Amino acid sequence: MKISIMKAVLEENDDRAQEITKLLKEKQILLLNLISSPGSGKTTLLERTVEFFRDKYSIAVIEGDITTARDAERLEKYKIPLVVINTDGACHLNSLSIKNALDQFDLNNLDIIFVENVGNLVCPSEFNIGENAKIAILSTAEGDDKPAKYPLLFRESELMLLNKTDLIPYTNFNKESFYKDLEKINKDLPVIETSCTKNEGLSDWFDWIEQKKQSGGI
Amino acid sequence: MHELTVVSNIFKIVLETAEKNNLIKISTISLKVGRQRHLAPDLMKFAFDSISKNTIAEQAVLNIDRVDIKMRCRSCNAEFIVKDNTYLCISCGSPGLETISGKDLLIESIEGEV
Repeated sequence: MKISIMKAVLEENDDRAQEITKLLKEKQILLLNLISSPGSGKTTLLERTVEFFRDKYSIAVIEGDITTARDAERLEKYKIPLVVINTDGACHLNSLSIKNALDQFDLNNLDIIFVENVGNLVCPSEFNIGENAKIAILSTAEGDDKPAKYPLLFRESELMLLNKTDLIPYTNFNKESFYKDLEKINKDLPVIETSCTKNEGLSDWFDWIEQKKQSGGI
Repeated sequence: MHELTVVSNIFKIVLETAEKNNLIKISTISLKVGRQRHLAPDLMKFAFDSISKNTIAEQAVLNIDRVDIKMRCRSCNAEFIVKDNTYLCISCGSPGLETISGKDLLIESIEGEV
């Protein structure tokens, strides 16, 4: 006996993601999903970003971490609402874990939520979490071939940060081949070159967030 | 390794459907998986074998149909299959594209014994 199903495998995740999008729209909160490999500089980027925006906006952070709370501990000094999601080995956050994290915030008093996804270029890009935008972060030490090797993330993202540009002289990162690859995969993807430790390029990132916030996340 | 999450979802939907239709054994599960998704069929099969042990889906065959990445150009309406990760219109070179297929992740059907 053959039974036709035609059901999306990730339907449950996508439905819940849509509920999150709706809830955050009502509350006028911007949700940004930061995706990268481990060690690309997401937490340092968040430190600089929270420092810049904390007097203007109420910010919260959701930290996806496989087993520790180390990234969250680095952000504790800012006294912002923080939730750590330990995925116990899972390689990505999903919309259920985000929904549970949101329940722990006072959503009436928040403007922007940053999600630091589990460090991984593959899996997080498959799971919508109700975000306004996915942001891909790549550090130069990882190599210029990453967009070509992991195209989905660079297709799904609305913005890309090329971080640790100050390290280029010490690596074999070839900017020309990086941009050539990216042009094939997603020519419309804006790229901001940053160095969080040298404070370079960050004003463009802050401007992007500000614009996204002003336009209601669209 | 998100294959495990994906396969767990498949397993759940398949068992629910089998129960509703009074199947006592599931022999085949047909899936559509777009080539844009980073999912390895071998890993999916391996995960499914582990998860389905001692259930009515044990030894079920996963038929995985890989769906090509197909795009439509917003400028000239040309439709084409993406090759070599090049998301530029083959007719006019524009990057403004609409996805027709390639991100599919569907359970099409199951087959089994009543």
